[in-house]
Amino acid sequence: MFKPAGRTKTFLVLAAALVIQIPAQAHHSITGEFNTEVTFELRGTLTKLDWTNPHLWYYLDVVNEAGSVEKWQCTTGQNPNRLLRSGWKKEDLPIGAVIRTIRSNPARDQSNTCIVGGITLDDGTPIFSGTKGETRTN
Amino acid sequence: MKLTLKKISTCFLLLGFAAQLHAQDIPRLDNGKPDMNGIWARPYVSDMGAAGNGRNQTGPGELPFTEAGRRNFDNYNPSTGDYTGTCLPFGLLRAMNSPDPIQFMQTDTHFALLYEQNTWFKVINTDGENHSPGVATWFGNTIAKWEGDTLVLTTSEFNGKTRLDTIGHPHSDQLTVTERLTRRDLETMDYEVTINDPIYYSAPWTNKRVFTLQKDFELIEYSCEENNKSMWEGRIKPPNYDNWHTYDTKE
Repeated sequence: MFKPAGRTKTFLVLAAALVIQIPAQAHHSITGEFNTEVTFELRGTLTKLDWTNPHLWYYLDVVNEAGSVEKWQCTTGQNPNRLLRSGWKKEDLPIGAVIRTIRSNPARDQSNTCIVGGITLDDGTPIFSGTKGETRTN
Repeated sequence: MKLTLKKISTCFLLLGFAAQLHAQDIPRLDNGKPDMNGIWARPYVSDMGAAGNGRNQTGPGELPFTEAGRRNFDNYNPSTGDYTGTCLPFGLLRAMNSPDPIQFMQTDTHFALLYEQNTWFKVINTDGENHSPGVATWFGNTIAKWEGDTLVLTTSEFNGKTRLDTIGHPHSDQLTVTERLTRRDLETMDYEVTINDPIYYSAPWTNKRVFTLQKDFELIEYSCEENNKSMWEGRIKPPNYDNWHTYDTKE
């Protein structure tokens, strides 16, 4: 059983077995790299954002239950081209923002790496999701 | 109301006339061929066999695997080698199944497919002749011809190093792909692709989908290699082509 090291007090292990999900927009199979049978969420501070192809990468400082900071890197099926066409820009997510990951799957190599189904700001506002300005629930 | 043979015949005539009018209600080039030019949105097809996933595509449901095909598909494990993850060419089918837009550019003599996915392209002579360079390739060699208003692309000479879709349906180097593109109206195009691979499938099978014309739209550069961290950090592994197929020695 995957046991994430970088848990926050709000960290949730939501589901385990038999959850197969492939982000609708990933350019390749994710099951080789990530364990899609495990799903969790992270809350952390954004330290860097790769607004790059083939996919975005978020870099997070996550405070674990012991109070120390663990560094995570998480990718997504999204790419800049699709986000640009939906009205989003890299500047819409400033460095230093507190974000939450949604439907995250851990890397199989046990590193602090994950793929996310989406992200929100700390108040739950979806970002880089759907068309900017339109209400959408992740 | 009493239906006479004359009335029924008249109805069929009117229906046929209406259908003919509808078929002609598409833009055309000066040479009379349907105008396929434009940037088209496509449904992401991760599983060409699926009977329908609500994204405007329809596959056959259950695929007619041969024994080798079933064995190959059951043994596919992208964690031991993922060729698209390493940014090798996706091949014709994976490129056509991509969710990213595609631009068609058409002249009297050629048809070009410009894939935003990884900024690939394919240019086809539409004279109906075989212009094969004589080497197997990732995207295959295509012979193009018009059947009425339908552009038919028949492709073979694949190198056998790709898969049909994200889920991993296999194909061999004996694959022949027949794509039929028919502009339905001002906004949409029917796309029908038939897979004929006697090594892995006991009968041809077809997937259908609909493309939608995009307006005020331009393609954007897409580099798969730009930041492929997953490969650089070893989480995605290159494929092992020594055990890619299940028919070389066993069939």
